[in-house]
Amino acid sequence: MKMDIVMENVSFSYGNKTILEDVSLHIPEREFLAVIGPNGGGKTTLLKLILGLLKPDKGQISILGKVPEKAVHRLGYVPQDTSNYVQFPITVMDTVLMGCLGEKYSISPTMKHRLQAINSLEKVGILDLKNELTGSLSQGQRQRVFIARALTTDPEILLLDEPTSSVDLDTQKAFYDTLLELNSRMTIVIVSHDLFAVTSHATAVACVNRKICYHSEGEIKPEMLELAYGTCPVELIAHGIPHRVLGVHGEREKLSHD
Amino acid sequence: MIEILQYEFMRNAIMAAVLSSLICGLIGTLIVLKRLVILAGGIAHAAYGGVGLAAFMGIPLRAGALFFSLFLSLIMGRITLQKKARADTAIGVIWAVGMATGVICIDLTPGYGVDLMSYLFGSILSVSKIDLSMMGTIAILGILMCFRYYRLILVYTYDEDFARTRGINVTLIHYLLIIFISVSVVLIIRVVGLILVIALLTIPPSIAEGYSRSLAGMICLSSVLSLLFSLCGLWVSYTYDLTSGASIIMVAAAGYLLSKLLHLPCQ
Repeated sequence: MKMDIVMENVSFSYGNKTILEDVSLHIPEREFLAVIGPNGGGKTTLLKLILGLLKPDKGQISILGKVPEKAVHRLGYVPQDTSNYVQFPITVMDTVLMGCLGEKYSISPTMKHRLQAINSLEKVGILDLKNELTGSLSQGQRQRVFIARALTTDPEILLLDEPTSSVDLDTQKAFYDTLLELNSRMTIVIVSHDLFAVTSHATAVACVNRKICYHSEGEIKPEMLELAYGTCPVELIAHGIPHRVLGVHGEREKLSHD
Repeated sequence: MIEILQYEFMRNAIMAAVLSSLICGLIGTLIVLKRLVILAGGIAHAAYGGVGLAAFMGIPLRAGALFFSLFLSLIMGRITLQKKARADTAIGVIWAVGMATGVICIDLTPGYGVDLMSYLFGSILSVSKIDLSMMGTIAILGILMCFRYYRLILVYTYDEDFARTRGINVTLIHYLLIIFISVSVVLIIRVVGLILVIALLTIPPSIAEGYSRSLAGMICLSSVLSLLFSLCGLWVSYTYDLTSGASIIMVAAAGYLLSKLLHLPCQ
């Protein structure tokens, strides 16, 4: 099987704080990988390493058979929604047109670029919003704008950082349906701290909390929860794990409350 | 009203207002959107360190201010680029140290009597031809760069990480912007002084932000507002015999308040 993303024994730290330690990951073509884990566990760092925005302290990363910097133009990146995007005066169309930028670019967008942008907006179902201000949209709509922008780059791998945080359930479902459709043409890596929403669509799950735990079926394994929430005694009853997976309440309460 | 134009200092002041408004509209918009306001403040106060050092060493004050703020701005630029959690604190320290350097250097310079007040509060009524030609050069350069690299500036301002994933040299754009901010701030200090320069850089863009649909629109509107405030302030200063820099800022602040009040019912 052709591997799109290969990470071998990758470590990364900010100053003295180790974020990722000895992480290895192999993501085949057309995978729909959900990256889950607690906040601060290293999910976004993992994504930024793949994008070449951060350099690993140790280990090798190969994207589409190349070093990340050489492959980055073939990746589509959908960032986390932050308040900075809300205040910025820019229309949906202009936002999506950023996807046409590369090392070579024209002073103003060409007709071809505009058609590309319109095509991407159509794919994510928000063409009617193209003249709205991106900041005035709902969060779910704005995420679609960012996906359209990423699609305009014509990517082979689509990487999304927390795209559905604080989006209502209906929006979430429509959103994942869109992603499933895109998955027939491209590999998808989606970061989320929302454990179960992603897993019903994913073909593989990786849990990141300094270490990585990877499972090639779209299912959460007890050891992932152990890795992710090892010190927090949550009782979980969910699909795939119809039983108590972690320690009984009281056992580790001391740990989580100090 | 027309008769004040017969004075050369008044014609120069109006020209300075026009040029500084163009620079403020452009630079102000970028620092507000890019959240580099504190960096601009740091540069302005570091400039005083340069003035002090220049006085102490007996070199031209303007050159001292320019080089010292350029030097410190590159350090601050590095701090902001790395996005260290406490970047604003580090800039705050540099800001204060820059200012203190200036004060101590002036203390150590015997019998120093040149108008330092004009650096603190500006003196648009005494701008020279050299000031004007420097402002003109920077304004034209800024506008040309903005036309040529508009899309790169837009994506850098909007989403640095995305820009990097498109293979755009964000680091280079960041440092060029910092250098440009540095030079601009030192020039605009001439108009409103280093203490008030922040207001002139931030008030017009923060009004314009609410009424713009694009980065270019915001830059243009900021420039127009900045010019309006500068000319009104100049008129107030002339009519009531008040300090010009402070008058300009008070007019701008009134405009800011007005725009917020007008915006209230919509929200």
